[in-house]
Amino acid sequence: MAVTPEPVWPDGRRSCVMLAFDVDGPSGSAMVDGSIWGMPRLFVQGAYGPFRAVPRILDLLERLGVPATFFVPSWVVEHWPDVCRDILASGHEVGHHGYRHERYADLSVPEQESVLQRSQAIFEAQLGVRALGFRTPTGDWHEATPRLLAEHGFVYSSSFRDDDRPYRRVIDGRVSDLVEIPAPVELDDYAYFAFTEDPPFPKGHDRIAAYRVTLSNWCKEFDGMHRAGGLLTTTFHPKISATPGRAVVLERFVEHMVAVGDCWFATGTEVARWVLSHPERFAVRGETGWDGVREEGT
Amino acid sequence: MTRALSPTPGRWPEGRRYAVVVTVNFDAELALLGPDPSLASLEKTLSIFRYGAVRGAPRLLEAFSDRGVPTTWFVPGALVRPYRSLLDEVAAAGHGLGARGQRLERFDRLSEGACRDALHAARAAIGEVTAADDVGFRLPSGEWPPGLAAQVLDAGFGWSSSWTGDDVPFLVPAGDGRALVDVPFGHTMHDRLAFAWNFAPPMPLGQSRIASYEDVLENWQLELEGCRREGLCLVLQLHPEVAGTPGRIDLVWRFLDAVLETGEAWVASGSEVASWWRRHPGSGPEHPVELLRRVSPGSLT
Ligand SMILES: [Zn+2]
Repeated sequence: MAVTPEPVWPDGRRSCVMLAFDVDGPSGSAMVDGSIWGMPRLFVQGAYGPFRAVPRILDLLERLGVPATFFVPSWVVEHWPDVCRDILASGHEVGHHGYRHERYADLSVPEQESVLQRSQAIFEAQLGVRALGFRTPTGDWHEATPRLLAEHGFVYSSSFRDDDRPYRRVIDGRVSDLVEIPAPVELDDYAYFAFTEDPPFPKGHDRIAAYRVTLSNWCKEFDGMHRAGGLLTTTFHPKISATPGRAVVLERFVEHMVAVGDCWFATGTEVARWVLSHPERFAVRGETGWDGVREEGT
Repeated sequence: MTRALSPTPGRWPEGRRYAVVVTVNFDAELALLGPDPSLASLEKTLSIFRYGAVRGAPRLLEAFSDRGVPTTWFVPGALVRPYRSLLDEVAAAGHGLGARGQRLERFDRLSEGACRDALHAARAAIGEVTAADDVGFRLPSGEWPPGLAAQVLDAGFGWSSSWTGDDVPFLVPAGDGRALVDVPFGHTMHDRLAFAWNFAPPMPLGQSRIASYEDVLENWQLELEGCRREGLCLVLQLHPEVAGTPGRIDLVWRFLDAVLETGEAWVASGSEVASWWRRHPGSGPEHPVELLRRVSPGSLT
């Protein structure tokens, strides 16, 4: 029944997977407001990501021969430089994810620039590379953020939810060279597995999802995306989805996608460069704010 | 090249590949009244936890003795007098005892003096039931206040099982060159988080549905598989009123049978694992607790 989609990916591949991990570690709102320093258990639970889970993921990716993109707050790069160098040495990519996982919507323009510059300096000093990709830490960005990203040499963002394939972003009324690679929440492990005792997360202390059901959802999302010829990216947090048991699930999920055969596994920068070199194949989307939507609708 | 931990000969005794520690949190009425003593009139809600004492605990004890599984029971010290005969049975069956404070206190909300008093009272109470000198401590809930590791050791506890964040035991710095061994757990391996439910007061906070029994067992079995692969230490937390029902004891049976079936597991009490781990040279400078000590010395000691 499925119509063969228009080919948009290299070598006639039917779909694209950009496997991505957000290595938040102990960063986040509690580090931004400083309360983490009175919460050693929360700190250690977060630090599990770069300490135990990233090495486990690197092993898994090596076994399966798949590249991935790791969005790492630069505080985490500063404190786990060896793990981050190992990410690069293993052929993967690192992207920007704030310094302490700041919410960009809460920052002034100079504050955003300062986080971007500080983080790029840390990436260069510790890893010898600058980040080309960006993923919003903690929710929304600021209206000025896309312009700042373009000005600071970023090639793509992977933050929004509004498509199932990448597009070029309109900034200040002009088509820019900033690519957006949307990331669906169905492939965010927080929605299934994240749990902290205090402060409670999820807020109602909802149950940890069944690993088997979660794997089934993820596989269905991939199957649908492959059928539609789109791009699937993940928001997997090593501390959440690479515990010993969940890493078994993660491995089965990647195996499922690899087994399909005609799917292009790419890093964020590879995707963005492909989009920019084949502009006729991808959409352009703008800053249709709420006002624009309302005018069109009436 | 392997970056993650891999099964290492000698990591566990008797040539075993990985370790499994079964723990029971026996809270009885203090599950409700420890955090909020004003709820003492809620007899119906209290009866949930009395069920654990009446039916759940004996059922768990039977499951453990049928399989020869040693376990560790964490009990708030104030329960020793009212539940003395049950705890004597636990000890007589060879299980270890530990304390979750004196009344399931939030240690992060107590003064240093009140922390010390609660720890000493709890240690003395456990000492009434067992002469064992290696008694464990489990933080009831909340955060780990600075200095608690030293206080736990000073009160006469030998080890702790209070943290997440690692797959093998590690050493929590206690200052003055001392350290407290912790045998850490994960939130998946916890029956109450999966199954406990009450109308008022709401449990869990958002009253989400009781999880699927089969799915939870499968989660446990997948964590067991992950633990087996890398030769780690898996800690299960059970609660008599939750895991000890006629319907759910089956999960305990099947999980324990799966552990024993492999023949590769060192099924040990928390105390055995902690004493084994104390021989290790330390957690290493890379460990998050050591990093935390460097970055924020006041957070731990
Ligand atoms: Zn993040």
